[in-house]
Amino acid sequence: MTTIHRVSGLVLVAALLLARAASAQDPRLEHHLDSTTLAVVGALMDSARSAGLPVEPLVQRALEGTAKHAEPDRIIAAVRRLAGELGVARAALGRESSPAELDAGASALRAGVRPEDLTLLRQRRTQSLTVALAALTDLVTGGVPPDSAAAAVLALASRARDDQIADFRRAVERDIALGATPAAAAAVRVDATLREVAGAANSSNPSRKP
Amino acid sequence: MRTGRPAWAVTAVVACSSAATPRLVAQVKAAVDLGVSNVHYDGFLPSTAAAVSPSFRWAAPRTLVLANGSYLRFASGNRSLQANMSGSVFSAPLGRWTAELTALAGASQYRDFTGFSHALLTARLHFDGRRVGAWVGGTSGTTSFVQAQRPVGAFSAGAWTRVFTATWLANATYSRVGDSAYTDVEGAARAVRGRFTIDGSLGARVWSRGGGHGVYGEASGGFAVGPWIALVLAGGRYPTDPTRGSVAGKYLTLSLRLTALPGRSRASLHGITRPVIHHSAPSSDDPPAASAEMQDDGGFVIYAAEAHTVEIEGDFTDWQPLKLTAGAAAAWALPAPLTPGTYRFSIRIDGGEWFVPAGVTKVADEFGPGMVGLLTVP
Repeated sequence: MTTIHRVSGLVLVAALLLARAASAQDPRLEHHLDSTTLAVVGALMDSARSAGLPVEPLVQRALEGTAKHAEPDRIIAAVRRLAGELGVARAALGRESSPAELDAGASALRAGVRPEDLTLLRQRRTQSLTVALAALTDLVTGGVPPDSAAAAVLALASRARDDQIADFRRAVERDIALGATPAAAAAVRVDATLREVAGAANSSNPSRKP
Repeated sequence: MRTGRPAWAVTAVVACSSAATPRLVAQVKAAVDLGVSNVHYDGFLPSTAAAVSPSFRWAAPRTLVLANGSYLRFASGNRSLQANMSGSVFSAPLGRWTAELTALAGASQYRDFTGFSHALLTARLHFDGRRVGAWVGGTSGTTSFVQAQRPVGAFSAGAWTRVFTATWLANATYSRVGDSAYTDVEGAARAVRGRFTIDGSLGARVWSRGGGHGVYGEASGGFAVGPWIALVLAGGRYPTDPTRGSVAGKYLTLSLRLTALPGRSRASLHGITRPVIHHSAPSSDDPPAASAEMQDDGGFVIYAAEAHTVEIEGDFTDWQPLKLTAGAAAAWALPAPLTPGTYRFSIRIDGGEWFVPAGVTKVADEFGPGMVGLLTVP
């Protein structure tokens, strides 16, 4: 085989790879990313799609980067990281997880929650995990230590409704804003929510008799 | 509810006395405190409570077993239960040095839910002089809140001295419970004179990550009415204890201590009765410049008083600025409800900087130094 043939072959393979990547591109990205970044992001999306992961969050992450005038390398890194987190979230939450759950799970992982806690949450809660995962993320980003946050949400997981978990999250946020330590606020509010779940009277009054 | 002096003080005093004067026969001591408390846990209204606190102590040469429990009934009718048990073995003295190994387990429950339990193993090395002593030690174990377990680790060092009839102690402890960590510095004193016994402690949580800060102190005074009966008045403020699942509070307790004390002439006065449960904190809303609210139907509203324009960009707008429509009461709404999912977004008012309104989760912005909002639609 001559050198010309070898070079031609390599060019053909590269063209096929680029074409394959281009086939995975989202038209919304074409006007915002340069060709190199577009090809890499497209390849990441293609891999995610092949793995059964949701692709829309990757598209949105790339669009967010372009809207904020981020460097191409930073956009690629953000999309790659998100794809990895979605994969870890899927492994922790199970293959039956919805795209919304995976997206919420990826956010929780990014915040510092352990994959094992996501698995426990899946085991304990029969309803959708989206709100519970969002609450978990919010607690951790609000300063509650990840294992304390996980313990609190896991305590609520089997019995509390989504709206009760959302109320719990808001109550913790208020307490923290008022100066309570995040871990203590979470511990207190999980008590109150459990009381509410148990149907106790006056559970919504934070200044109550013990 | 918790009964007893801080564990470090109890063990240090016991260890010193055990090492210095080994007992030749086992001693058993049992007591029960019947008391009335006024308690004020952080975030709760003050409340009165009736308390019953039994305790048990079995001491043999180089072995010590302690057990205590408490039942607290508040004016509201709610109940709190707590129980602890520990066993310690001490090595034969090697010169003035003694080693101690203590296993401790406990559990607590407030009303019918939210139980805490813990199991700890502590090793200490004591130096026991005639009037001064010191110790270093480490603790390892686990604590569980409902069903979730967290590892516990602690390192402490302390010293004591006897001056006249009083024993003075000081120690510093670094504790780690899960990913919370804190350092306490404490001092304590105990004096016995005739029928009177006085205990006092003063401490501060000088560094903390998730365990709170603050100064705390407790004091108790006891008067031995007779061989089996003592009156004890105790009060003070104590800090959050992540291991046992209690948080800071104040209390004042008056109790009658009934003691079964073979071979002794006075009722035991050792111990402070302290009512402890899991706590709450007050709440109210701070008025933000802009706040966001997720509505039940997937609608999303920004409340921004005095805004002329409100724009939003996020995962649901392909990160293109979208002007919101002004509604009543300074409410700016998305034109259509959002479908279930998790969305990142930011807003800006009157063409200013993009920011995240109050009321939604904020996470680090990967593409800049600020934050980005995280919105979840169930």
